[in-house]
Amino acid sequence: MKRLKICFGMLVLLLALSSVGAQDVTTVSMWFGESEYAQCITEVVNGFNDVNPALQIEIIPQADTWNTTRTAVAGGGGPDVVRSPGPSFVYEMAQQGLILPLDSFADEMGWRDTFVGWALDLGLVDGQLYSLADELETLVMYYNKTLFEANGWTPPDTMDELIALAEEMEAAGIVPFSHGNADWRPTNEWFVGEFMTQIAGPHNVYKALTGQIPWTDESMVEAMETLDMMQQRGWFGGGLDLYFTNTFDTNLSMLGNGEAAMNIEGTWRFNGIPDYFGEAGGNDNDWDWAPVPSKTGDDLFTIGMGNTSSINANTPHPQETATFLTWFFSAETQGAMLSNCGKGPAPIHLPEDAMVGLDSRVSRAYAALSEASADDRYGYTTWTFWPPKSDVYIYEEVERVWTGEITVMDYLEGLNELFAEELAAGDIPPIPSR
Amino acid sequence: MTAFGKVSLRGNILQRGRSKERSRLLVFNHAVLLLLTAFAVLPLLILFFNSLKTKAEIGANPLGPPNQIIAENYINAWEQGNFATTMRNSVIYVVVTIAAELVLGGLAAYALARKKPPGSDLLMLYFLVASTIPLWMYIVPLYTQFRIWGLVGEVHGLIIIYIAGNAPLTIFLLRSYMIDLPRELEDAARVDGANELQVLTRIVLPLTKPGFLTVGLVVGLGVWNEFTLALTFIYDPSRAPVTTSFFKFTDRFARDWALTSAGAVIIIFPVMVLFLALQRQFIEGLAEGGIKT
Repeated sequence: MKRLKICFGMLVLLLALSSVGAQDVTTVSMWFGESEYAQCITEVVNGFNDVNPALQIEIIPQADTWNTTRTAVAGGGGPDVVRSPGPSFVYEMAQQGLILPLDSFADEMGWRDTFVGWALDLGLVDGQLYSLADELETLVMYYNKTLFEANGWTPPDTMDELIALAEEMEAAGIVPFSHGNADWRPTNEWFVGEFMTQIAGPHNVYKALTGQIPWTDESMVEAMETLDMMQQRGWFGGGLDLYFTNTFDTNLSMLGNGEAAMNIEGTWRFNGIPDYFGEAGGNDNDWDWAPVPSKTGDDLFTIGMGNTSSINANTPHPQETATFLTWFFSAETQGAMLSNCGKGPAPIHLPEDAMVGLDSRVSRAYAALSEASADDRYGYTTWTFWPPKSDVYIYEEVERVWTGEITVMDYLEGLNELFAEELAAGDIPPIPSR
Repeated sequence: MTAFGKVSLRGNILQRGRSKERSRLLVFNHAVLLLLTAFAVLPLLILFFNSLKTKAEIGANPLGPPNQIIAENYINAWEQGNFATTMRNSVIYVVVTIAAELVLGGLAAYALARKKPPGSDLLMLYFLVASTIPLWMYIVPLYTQFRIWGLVGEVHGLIIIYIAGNAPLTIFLLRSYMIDLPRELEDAARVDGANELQVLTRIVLPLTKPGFLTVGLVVGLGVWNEFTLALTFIYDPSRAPVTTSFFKFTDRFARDWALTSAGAVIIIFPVMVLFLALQRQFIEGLAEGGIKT
């Protein structure tokens, strides 16, 4: 009997050991678009895989990531980590139960300390956390530094100074802004959002986004009329007709060769702008950036999110996926991806030493953005904070203002009406309170 | 001057007049043809020019010839686009789909054209209606079903979709060929003792060869250029087809047009060679298939 018990015990032990061996490796998958530095991210993630043999992360380069992700997730498959192009895209997935609520993981894994104060609010849907914001971005004013120096110009601080400088450039035969929307029609919304923040002010935009003031407020009218004035004078790309046909290559070539002097674009362009200056661009010019001038002269930065991460409701490994996300959003990992891959960091507490090795112009931008975000000098990008229908309205209908079909007031009244409907329906993305 | 002389003179004048008119017509025809040729060739020429420029030059000079030839674009596009793998995969997808399409579609078309089973008209109507439904309307249920069957991410899973998706076109085209073949030829073969398979392989197939060639080319081009299904159903980069290579030249809001142009030249080159080699049969086949419906 005793021998039988020993044999049984041995058998149980063997089975237990074999099952431990079989369950040893858990694989968590994450899709990255080809454009999103998948190869570089894979190398960073290999650092995690090397020290976590029991939990392996598979980064899969997946073109057209968002469309393929939502098809796969809706079909019951897809990666364990679901990435979307921004907080407003998460809403429907959360409502359909395709992604998991993350509140318990946020408490358990300390995410509330990792992220800056307002950042987790961006992932709230009906009061529950469903996504973690990633790829913090803002718009800055790139300029041809060599051209500025040759003409004795300095980057303007206020909107009035900007207008005066643009007039000077126009007189010198230089296009003030190398802008155009042929590659990406929503380029229009960059300028609408930026001018609202810089002229109407972020506090007024916040009030409008929360329904406290209408979009027809006089501060918004002033912002839109200034933008329209610049378009009508041909300061964006050399004329309205050219604005509608200029591609990004054209815009950046104009800036690089000095045909144009400035360009308001996102921090995502830090990766590509060197291709249009110096030897790569076939000229002797250099570039730099400055904050987009504001009405008051304060350095204001609109904040946007390029991506979010959530956990797929179909995953058999939610806990392991959350463990990986904890590592992914750590300061060390985000710093490594920023320095090595040029990926915009998540809105986390990122120490300065995490940005070692970056071009000083790039690290200066992220440091300024971080400072502005802590200092209440942040505004709102339309693609992150506006509800979907209003967002589309913003970049489609503004073309009718520029072509003279409708007035600025008509445009804002239309926006106000549509926004009110979406506000009443509860379709507004989460707006961090200020 | 004799009457004959007068007639001859008038004939000469008339002939000269006609000749001038003909020359004018020829000049006009050639001008139109040159314009159409330019319409077809210029985009390809611009594509080729841009494949040899830097990104900055494409921005400054998007239409003209390159100031400096950057042949490295082809090497970079080949490596960055992983064309060695994606081209091989696309050849597999194309060849297997065409082979299956010709065999299965050919048999189905023959049955529908000659045997007319009950409900064949309804079946043709179903094919017609089903082939007009946009992909995005059924891609999620298709994905769900394929995931349950374990076919997502599998090469043969994608090929099954390609075969099924192209079947209506194949059957329509081949049926329209077969339906108007003289039945006497088949009856004569039967009188000579041929069975049904022999009638199909010895009589019908040789007569509908241009149709099969046309179907092969149309289906082959469709699969070679297909993107959405491949992207949705194949995750492993080692199984991805050639069209997915284009996405490796994009960033968030724009694409590298220099590498994209070089990649496009790489992708269309084999197709152009194949098309030029078989264009006579292709055009004849398509025209006849259209006429004989």
